[in-house]
Amino acid sequence: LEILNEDNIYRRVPTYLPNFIKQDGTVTSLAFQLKRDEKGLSVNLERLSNYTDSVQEPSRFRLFQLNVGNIRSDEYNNLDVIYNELPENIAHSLITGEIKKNDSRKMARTGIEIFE
Amino acid sequence: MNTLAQINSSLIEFSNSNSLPYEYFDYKNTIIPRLTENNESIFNNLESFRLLKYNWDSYGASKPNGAVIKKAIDLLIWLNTSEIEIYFTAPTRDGDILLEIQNGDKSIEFVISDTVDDSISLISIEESVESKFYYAQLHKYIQYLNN
Repeated sequence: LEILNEDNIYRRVPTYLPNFIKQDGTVTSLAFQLKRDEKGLSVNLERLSNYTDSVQEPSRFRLFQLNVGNIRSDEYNNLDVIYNELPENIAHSLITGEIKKNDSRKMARTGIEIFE
Repeated sequence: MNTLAQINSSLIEFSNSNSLPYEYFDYKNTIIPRLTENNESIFNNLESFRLLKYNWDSYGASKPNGAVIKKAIDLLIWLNTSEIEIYFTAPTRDGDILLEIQNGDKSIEFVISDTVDDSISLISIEESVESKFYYAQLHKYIQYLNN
């Protein structure tokens, strides 16, 4: 499946134990950082998913939307978004490339919260 | 005026010849001021990280171990002793712990791990610089925030 620049992706952000939302309402960049052994940052492709499936537990997570074209733009460090279907999640995709801390900060800044 | 990169570069140069291994806070020989209300709340947050289980972020995050939490609390106490308020704390997805302090449009992010690879980010509107965190240079980092 080809992911287009017009596509949007979703990423869950924890809000309870721990809370990734700061006092001023902004999201910590930790939400968009890779683990040391990860090959890509897991996200859900918007057109194959919905709020309920993506947020999983609204009491523990909030959902943030990023635009694929923006992630692929020169604003970032050669990042891409690829489709990576899992048996339990047909919307599963990955942000790939070397996600540097500055990239994570940009994602945290530009992510738009999605509500039901 | 020095850029962040210049400031951090000089800190690293100085630290390389003068760095100390991190040692736990010397509780016995230090009078520890009472935590401020804000820092007490941060302390409680740090303690709560002991309750985390693997996959707390639903994406496979590791939980911080007791040694990392202890190191983060030690840093909190040091900063509180220097009358510095912690703005934000959270575990990283690798099980490290972030402590963030702010002053206006500048901020410092300390990432504490259970190895010697603690790191620091000096962040301003114009730029950000990441490097290894030298505990011996804490006062100089704080100076950056206040200048």
